[in-house]
Amino acid sequence: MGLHNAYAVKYGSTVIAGLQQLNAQTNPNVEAESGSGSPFPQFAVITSQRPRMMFNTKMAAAVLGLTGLTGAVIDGTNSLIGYFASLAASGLPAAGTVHRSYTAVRGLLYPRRISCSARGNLSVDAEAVLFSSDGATHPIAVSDAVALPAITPANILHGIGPITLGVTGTTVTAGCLQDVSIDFGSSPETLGCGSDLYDMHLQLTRVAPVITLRGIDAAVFAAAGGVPAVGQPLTHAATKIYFRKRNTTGVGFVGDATAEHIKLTANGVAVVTEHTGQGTSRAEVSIQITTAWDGTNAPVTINTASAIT
Amino acid sequence: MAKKKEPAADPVALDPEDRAIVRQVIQDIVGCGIPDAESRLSAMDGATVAKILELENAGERSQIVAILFA
Repeated sequence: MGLHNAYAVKYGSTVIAGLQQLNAQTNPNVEAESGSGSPFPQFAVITSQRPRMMFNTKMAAAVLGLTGLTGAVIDGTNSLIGYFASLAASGLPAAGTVHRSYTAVRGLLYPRRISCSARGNLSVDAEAVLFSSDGATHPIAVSDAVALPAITPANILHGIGPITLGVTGTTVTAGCLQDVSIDFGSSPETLGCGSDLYDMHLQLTRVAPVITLRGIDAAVFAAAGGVPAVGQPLTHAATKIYFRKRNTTGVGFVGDATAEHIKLTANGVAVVTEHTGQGTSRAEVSIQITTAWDGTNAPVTINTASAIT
Repeated sequence: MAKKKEPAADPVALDPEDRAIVRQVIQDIVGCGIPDAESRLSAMDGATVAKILELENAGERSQIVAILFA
């Protein structure tokens, strides 16, 4: 009997702890071939596997610093390792090199989504698509004889900060936000050849981030001073989304002038999608920002060490 | 934002603040993370780094795209 719990992820030399979820998948394609003569499948076969590793953490700055918008390459220098701690009789992680690891040396680690609710902490969903060197070598190496990496307290947390949208000279301040989320819209695809069991190639076909802001200040949906019904163009220069870093003491926030906050800028269009209320609860306005490349910067830029200005 | 001072010609001797500016420019344009941006920065010669810093300080980021993807 070997009980384990999710412990940490390591990319290169960077250890990401404080995980909310860790999921190592083989993602197999299994076929049950049927033919005449029997209602039962006559051959069960694993035709391919497309392994993935996924995790969720509130160490958003660390993850976004690694991946940026388009992801971080997993290779021999910067491998990706998912750790599951083997539990001792005490119920705590056992001592020694007795733990489970899943190691990948080919792939792409990329951000799928970040989200933060009012008074909550920013969390990030990250995923790694993995592939093989030769189509026959499994993309994930499994070991039950590793030590756990050293971890530090997962206390680098961020809450919703000030958000302004628009173009230079015409900006909207999103007030009283209840939720901010970004779906990074990344579509990395791996590809295999012939009868290869595992993919050998990778292509990032699309990165199309969509940002959703949800708040209770109806003034954000207005012809003047808000996002008008027809929509609002956005540029990087005037569209800033901050996530404010909490003090590691747990009391208050890091000062605005200190370059430790997360800043995102975006280019594209914003449109109010709905103003909705249920029962006696306060109505909410939702703004959807669909981003686009401006010819220079990525659709969303990410700075994990920014002052709030 | 933009800083007005002479950039170092040698990337090894680059002021840490200037290096952070160039790295962030690379991140913004490429969309990559810090390790990839550092790798790209380290592979550049001093003149290229100085040119990127000069263009960024002058508010001419669009011209940096051609340098990064040349």
